[in-house]
Amino acid sequence: MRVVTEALVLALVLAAGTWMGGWWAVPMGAAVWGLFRGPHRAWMAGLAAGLAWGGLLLTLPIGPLYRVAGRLGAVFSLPGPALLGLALLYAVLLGWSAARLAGALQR
Amino acid sequence: MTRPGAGVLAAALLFVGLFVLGSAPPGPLPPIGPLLDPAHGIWSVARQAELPIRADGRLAGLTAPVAVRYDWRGVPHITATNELDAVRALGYVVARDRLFQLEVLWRSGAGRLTELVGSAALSLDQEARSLGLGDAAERYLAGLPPEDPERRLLQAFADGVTAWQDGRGRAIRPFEYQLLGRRPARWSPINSLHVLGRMGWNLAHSRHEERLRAATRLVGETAARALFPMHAPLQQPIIPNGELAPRFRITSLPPPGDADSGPVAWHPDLTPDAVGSNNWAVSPSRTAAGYALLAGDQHLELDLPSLWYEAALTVPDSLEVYGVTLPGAPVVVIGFNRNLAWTFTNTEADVLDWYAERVDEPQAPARYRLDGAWHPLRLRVELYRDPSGRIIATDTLRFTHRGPLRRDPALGGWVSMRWTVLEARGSLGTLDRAARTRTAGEFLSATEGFGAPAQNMLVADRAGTIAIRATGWFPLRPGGRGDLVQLGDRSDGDWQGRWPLSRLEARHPAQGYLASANQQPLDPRVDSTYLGADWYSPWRAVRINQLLQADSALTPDDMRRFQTDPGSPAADLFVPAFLAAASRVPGQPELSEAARLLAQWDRRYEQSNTRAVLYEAALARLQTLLWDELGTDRQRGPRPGLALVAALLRDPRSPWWDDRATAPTEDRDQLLSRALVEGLGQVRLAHGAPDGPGWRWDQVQFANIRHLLQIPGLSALRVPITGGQSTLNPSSDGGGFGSSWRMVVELGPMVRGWGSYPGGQSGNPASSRYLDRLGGWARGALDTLRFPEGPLPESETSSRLTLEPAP
Repeated sequence: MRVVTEALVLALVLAAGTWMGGWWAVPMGAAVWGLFRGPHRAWMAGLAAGLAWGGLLLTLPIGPLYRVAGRLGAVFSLPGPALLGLALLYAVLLGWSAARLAGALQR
Repeated sequence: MTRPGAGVLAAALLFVGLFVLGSAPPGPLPPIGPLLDPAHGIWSVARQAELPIRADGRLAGLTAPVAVRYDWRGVPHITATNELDAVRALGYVVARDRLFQLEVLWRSGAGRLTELVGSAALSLDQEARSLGLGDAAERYLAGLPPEDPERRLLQAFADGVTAWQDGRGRAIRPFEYQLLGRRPARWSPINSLHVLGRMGWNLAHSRHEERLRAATRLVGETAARALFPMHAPLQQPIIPNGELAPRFRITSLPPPGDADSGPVAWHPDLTPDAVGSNNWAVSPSRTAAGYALLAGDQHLELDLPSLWYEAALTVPDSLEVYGVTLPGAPVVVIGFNRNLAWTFTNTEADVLDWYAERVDEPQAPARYRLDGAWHPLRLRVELYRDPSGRIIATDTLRFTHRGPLRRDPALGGWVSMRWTVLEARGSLGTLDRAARTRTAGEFLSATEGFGAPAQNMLVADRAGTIAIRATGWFPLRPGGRGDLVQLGDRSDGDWQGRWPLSRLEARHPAQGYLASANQQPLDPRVDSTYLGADWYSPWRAVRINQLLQADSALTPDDMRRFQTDPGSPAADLFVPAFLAAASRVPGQPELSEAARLLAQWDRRYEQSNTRAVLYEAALARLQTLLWDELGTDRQRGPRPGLALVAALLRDPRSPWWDDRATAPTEDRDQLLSRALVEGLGQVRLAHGAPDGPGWRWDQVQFANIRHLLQIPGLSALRVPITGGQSTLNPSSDGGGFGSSWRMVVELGPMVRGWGSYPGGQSGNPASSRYLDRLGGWARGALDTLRFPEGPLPESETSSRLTLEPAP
């Protein structure tokens, strides 16, 4: 339960950071998390980053979001949903790697 | 290495890779961090894709609140207490829907696209600046005093755009900026002038001198002048000449002369029969309801977002106008008010001349010779920057008193250019005044000062008056012609004033209608003064005249139907000629087969027909074979228009019919027959068997409406359309040109309008209004344009915007 709560709190922090500051809030926030929680909890930073960005995407109107994905997919010759998945994957990997690196520094 | 060490290394590599991709990736990719950011990146454009039910905004400069109601087609109906406030609101709503387009349009006129998209646009920018467009806009604005009405319009529009940029627009960058990884540049009043300069370039940049010179080198001066004559070989002028049928002016050509030994500059793009626009108006005596009717459709480059933006502006007791504006222009360009409607076609007059100049130094001249004395050239250094601000190229522009000076390799020296687009004044102001006029006469008076690009302005009013006038600055030349390079060392070779516009005007025509389709405005029998050269072949004008003459009880729906009419007067003339020729050349089974197939065509370019493709191929082949003296398809010189080919049909033994590459001397019928056979061969090769699906016109002819960045995923490609070459709905340049705004207006007790354009009001690709009009446009359908007296009713309002004065 505590793990879930931690992950949700971190996701909220990363979402708020992204909303206020931009994409770099994910590596910054995850790194800070890694410094405090160590490298073994880096996966949680990745999960929280994915949740944060996924949550932010869910605040967008679904029809236009689907059209953005479709148009963007057409630009890059990819299926639209794949690009949405790519955005989430980017956040997850960025969050995990930043936390993992910072955690290693802590040790 | 231990497992934890490997994990850290993997994390470090991944992190560095992701961070570099996120912030500054190599190559053309934008930084994907800000791109994929769900709060501010490309996904966020979904937040502004649809209009909210209610919104408000602050706008500096407003003197009172402005109410904007959007109808169900996304058209803003702006109600303000004064006109400048209405224009401020117009700037705001255009920026809200079309911010990226605004930037592309002004940058393309100013020659500053490289700052947005990088060095790929350098040659375009260099061309724009070498034409002097940026220089002219700056000088024009600097000469406008602050209280000048046009200056105030420009400032008001800029107030509106920047209010959007500084306010709600700041939160979310439009789709294209996200893709490019750029931020919008702040709008300023001069940008509107750049947009208009760009239109001038599109519409009034003729190359008559180049064409005639290239033809002269290939076939000698006498033949060249006959191929590219001052007056159209087929006459159906805009100003009625009392003749209902078109008239051929010439029936034979002098033989081709010897080619010059000098180098020939090949000109694949010097095609005289580019697509153009149509407009026509009908007097009440020829309409079913007894009210004047007006129709217009501007055939221009088809882009996404559309070139036009619909809007209605109301200022009680002063202005009530509905129509389309060019994004960036602070006025309604084409439209209607409570009393009249107006629309334009391009006049295609020659308003650009070249002068061979004597300069003091051939490499980097500083002075030019005029009237026996040396005069300093005005110099202007142009810097081209990339998006980071780095200088990527530098040019030094030189100007004589006439205009920009450039090197002319074919002439082996320097030439200066004089062009009305660089000199015209007050065009915006005239359009602003025109929107408030009440009668056709007032409209013509209000637009007298319109300079460039010259337009055939057609107007109809509720009193039943219809009128047309070629309007613009048309230079009078001392030498009489403008299609030859002039000597620049004497000032008495300069323009000597302008055409009086009254000579180019018609009102209350006895025939009961007026029509223009970019053809020669005046019959040279009436006035042979040089106005231009090598006019578009008047097939569309001929067809409009046929349709309007055939019916004396016309309705608005007839007008709509005519705009996509599939008939072709050119096909009516050439198909019988092909068939007659084939019948006179017996004993060739392939020719008989080609003739049999062509005879099955009803000469209508409907989407389902399967024979237009053969005619088009045969006609193209005929022109290649006929004009062999002017190059080949690969190395192509300038070619005369199709009307000249039609005129030549009357001279079966003309030496032009001979293909010089073959031993026997061909005549007309032999060349027509050969073109038909070879055309059939080409169509079979490209499209399969005659009864297969590949011959359907909707598998051959398309509109291709490309996004401004030329990205296929944001474009509408291969849109099947009705119509073809020489019809009222022509398409050319691979489907990239076509009808950009169709409008029909009935001038009854209540003015009613219908219209459509290919695209939608929103420039946001995520919006349902990005392409919502495309299907109707492709079918030739028109939407009802809502223009109620008083505010737009609640039931017809999809969204409201309230703009308040900024504190």
